[in-house]
Amino acid sequence: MKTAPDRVHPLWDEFCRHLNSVSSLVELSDLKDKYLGRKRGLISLELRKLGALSPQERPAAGHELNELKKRVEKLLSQRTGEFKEKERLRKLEMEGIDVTLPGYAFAPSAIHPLRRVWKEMEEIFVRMGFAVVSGPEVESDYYNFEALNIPKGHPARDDQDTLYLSENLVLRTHTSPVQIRTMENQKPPIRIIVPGRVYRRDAVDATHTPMFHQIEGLLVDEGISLADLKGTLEVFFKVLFSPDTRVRLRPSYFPFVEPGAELDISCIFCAGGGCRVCKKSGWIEILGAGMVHPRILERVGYDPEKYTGFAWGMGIDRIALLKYQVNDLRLFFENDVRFLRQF
Amino acid sequence: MRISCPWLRDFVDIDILGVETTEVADALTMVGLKVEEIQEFNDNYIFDVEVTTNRPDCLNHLGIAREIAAHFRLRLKPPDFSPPQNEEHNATILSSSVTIENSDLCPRYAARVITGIRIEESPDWLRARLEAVGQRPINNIVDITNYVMLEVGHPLHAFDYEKLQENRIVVRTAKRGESLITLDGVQRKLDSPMLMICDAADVVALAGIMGGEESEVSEGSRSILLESAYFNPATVHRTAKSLGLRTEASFRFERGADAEMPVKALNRACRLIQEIAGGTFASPVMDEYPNPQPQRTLQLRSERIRKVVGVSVDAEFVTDTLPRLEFKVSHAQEGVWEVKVPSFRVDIGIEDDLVEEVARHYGYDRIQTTYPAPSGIGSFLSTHNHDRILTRTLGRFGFLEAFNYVFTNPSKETPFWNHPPSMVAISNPLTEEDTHLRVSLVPGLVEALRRNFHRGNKVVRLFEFGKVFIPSDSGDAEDFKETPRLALLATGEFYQPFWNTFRDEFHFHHLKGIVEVLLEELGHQAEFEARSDIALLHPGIAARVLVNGEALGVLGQLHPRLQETYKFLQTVLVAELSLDPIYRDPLREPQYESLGRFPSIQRDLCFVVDKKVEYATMLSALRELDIPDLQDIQLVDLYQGSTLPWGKVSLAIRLTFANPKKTLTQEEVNRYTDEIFSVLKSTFSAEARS
Ligand SMILES: [Zn+2]
Repeated sequence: MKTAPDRVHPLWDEFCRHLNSVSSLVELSDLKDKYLGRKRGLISLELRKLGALSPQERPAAGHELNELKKRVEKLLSQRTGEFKEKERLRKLEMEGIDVTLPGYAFAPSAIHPLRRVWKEMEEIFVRMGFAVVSGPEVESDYYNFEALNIPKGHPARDDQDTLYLSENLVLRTHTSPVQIRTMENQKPPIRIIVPGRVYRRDAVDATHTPMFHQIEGLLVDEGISLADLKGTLEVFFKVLFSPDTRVRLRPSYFPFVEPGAELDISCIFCAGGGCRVCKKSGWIEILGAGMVHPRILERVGYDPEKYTGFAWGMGIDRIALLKYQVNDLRLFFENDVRFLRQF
Repeated sequence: MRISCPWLRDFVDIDILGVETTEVADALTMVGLKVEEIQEFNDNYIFDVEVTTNRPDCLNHLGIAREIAAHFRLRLKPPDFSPPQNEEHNATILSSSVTIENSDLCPRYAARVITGIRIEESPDWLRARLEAVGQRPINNIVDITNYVMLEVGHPLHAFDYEKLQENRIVVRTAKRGESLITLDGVQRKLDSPMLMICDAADVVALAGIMGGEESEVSEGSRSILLESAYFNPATVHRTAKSLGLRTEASFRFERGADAEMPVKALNRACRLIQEIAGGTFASPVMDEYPNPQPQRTLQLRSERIRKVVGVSVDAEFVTDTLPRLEFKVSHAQEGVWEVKVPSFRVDIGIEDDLVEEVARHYGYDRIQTTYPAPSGIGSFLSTHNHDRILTRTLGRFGFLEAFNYVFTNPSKETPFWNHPPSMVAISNPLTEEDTHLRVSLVPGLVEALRRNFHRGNKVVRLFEFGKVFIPSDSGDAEDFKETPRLALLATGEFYQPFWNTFRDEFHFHHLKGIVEVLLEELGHQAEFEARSDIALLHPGIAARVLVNGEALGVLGQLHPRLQETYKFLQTVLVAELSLDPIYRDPLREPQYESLGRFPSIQRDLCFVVDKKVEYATMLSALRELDIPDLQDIQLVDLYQGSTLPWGKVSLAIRLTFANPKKTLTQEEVNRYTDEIFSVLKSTFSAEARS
């Protein structure tokens, strides 16, 4: 059987030579026209000549030409792809920017460090089932002192040097008056916290400001004990600081609680080993607390034989100092934007 | 209170424990007597003990030793309180007497006359003990009175017997016009309710506080009258406070001395005087005690201990611990004790006080933690979400939260209001700076800005939530409103410094936009009204902010007058809003509105109008046309430059039309646009601009 001669068409070599010298898409398109152009294309002309061949010669020559055309087309499209890719890369390269230039400096926002820790503490207590309540910053002598077992002449009044507006009105020295206001208007169970501003007649220095912030807590129900106080605040401080924080209750005295206590947490800086902050004791004094004094329960109309409760008061400012390692209370009230931006 | 370890060893054998001094200190801390510091002094340890105001019985070494002994289960060895030896051999008898005129203020007064004493320097051991706890030695008699006070807690006073007229003591209140030069050389004016120690004629001492200079024991004294009394705490407190005079004696009397201690302390002092200063007793112990105080008895139930503390404490622990603290315990019935309270425990008044006694020696640290049963659902304040949204929104615009003191003073406020504002005054201010309560948050923020400028911070955006205190017109000092506000302050570049943006100073319309968004976030549409009468704002760059016709606050540029006062080189924008009207409305859930299936069409209108025409007036005229398909009007360009006639401004507004039911035709939209322009033309003499 006679097969198509396996020889390379002379146009093939010529095409390959041309293709190698092509250096752009435009030249490539010219090349395509030269060989495949419908009218003048060299291969098209050859194909047209087929008609002049004898019927015996025609199939082999036609086959040969078609093969040639396919190979040329394939090579051209391959080369076109290569040129397009090169073109794209060149364009992308030109579009490139300096990614190391600074990003747009959107104005930073921040909430005040005291607000930040205040809200964090609120959230923990709300999760523990406490309701947040508030009260006036200007209080009557009755709610600030008398109702809390601090009659006139009581030494505890000297400890809390008070700013008076009149004989009867004070800038509250603690958030405790809200305990009384709440119990007067509500039956047990009571489970509240009272965050807010308080005032003392103190000169400003690194550890004192005449205005600061407290969170008062009060829980009154049947069967509430000092052990519950310890458990509740232990959970709170584990969440606020870290799960390995330990708490310690120590006997202390506040006129509106009995028994009274102070609560220390294991030092968050040295984990109890002893450092400068905890004065080598391993403990940091953090709040005052105790069981609500039976006379206060009686005063608001609760039966102290049926109901017991615990209360505490802690300084927000002090906890912010510890948490953010701020070394001077005054910074909280200077409102220097470089300070505020850090929170 | 400084407590010396060698002195403690007189009463309790701490060495037998074989423990470190720090362990003794820790034990004290854990029974409620916090050792703040352990100091070394001449090879001995000094505890600095924080004694709570309810425990005057621990303001001395014996009291502290009693707590240590109880904690470690050691025997307490009190000093010898019995009368001194050989007193019957003293022949010399000097006449004297004690009269109490106000036995409610002075329930007990004991005294004794001693003669033939030598006033000299105290022996070394006595001086050393006093110095170790910070007490300056003076002479042997004064030192002994101080020593006894620091040892057993009872303040004593020695008079020069010969300086007392008629050699007798009268305890009475001061008469008007009387005065006394006290030991510190200060002339004290006395008043009628103050309790005095007097001789037959004059005041010789402030009862329980300080002696007089005249009757002071000095080098030449040969005979003394030694006082050991018990004064009512309230009277000592009142007098000390009104004279502004606090002493070691008043500190103890006002917290509550031991009414059963005067004679014991007197005996203890007499023994020391006999030993150190010589002399003979020239009188018996005169002890005026007309109404001896009854011993208090309380009931203690073991069930109450369990209930309050949350642990069951063994009965043996209770009956062992309380007697160590000198309570007398007797069994009343099953689980109930009858407890007699020692006279020095002025803090024990109810059963729960005894519960605390048991608990603190049981050890608070031994209490196992428990958790209260759930009761109630946690909740935030009703204003919590309002505040959260406001804070978050302000954060978006780069505002930082400021906290300012509420204090101010008239001279600080006057520049802001053109006159001293009516303010709530503090009746006992600590400084001349902080005499009143603020009526606005703005002055505080301006002050904070001044501080920031001083420190080189030029771009400042602050906000503050806080209360202001607004007096009523009644003039009554107690009649005022405590009300919450939000204030904003901004100055400097609006955009952060960047290599690819325009520069723009923070100006009125920036702040206005922020106030609009703030209120919109809470579901309110803000309205603004030009005002030229707001003292702290530029009269031409100021507005009142309203919501539903109710005035909420103000907004504008800080008055150039204030800018000059504060030497600010940049313009400053401020706003202040009342929060009560905002808090009053609960936040509503968003309600979905259909987006409309048909496309909207926009048209821009450009026209020139007189500068005096307020944009808001034009806007409301267009709204009044009531074209339902007109969905939105936006100002997209404003130009007032040299190419325009003087006093004119060129505006471009973008009108958006849409209909929920159909696609609007070009003809409809053209008709609307023509209608709108004809109103602008007829009402505001607007001229079209291409
Ligand atoms: Zn530490």
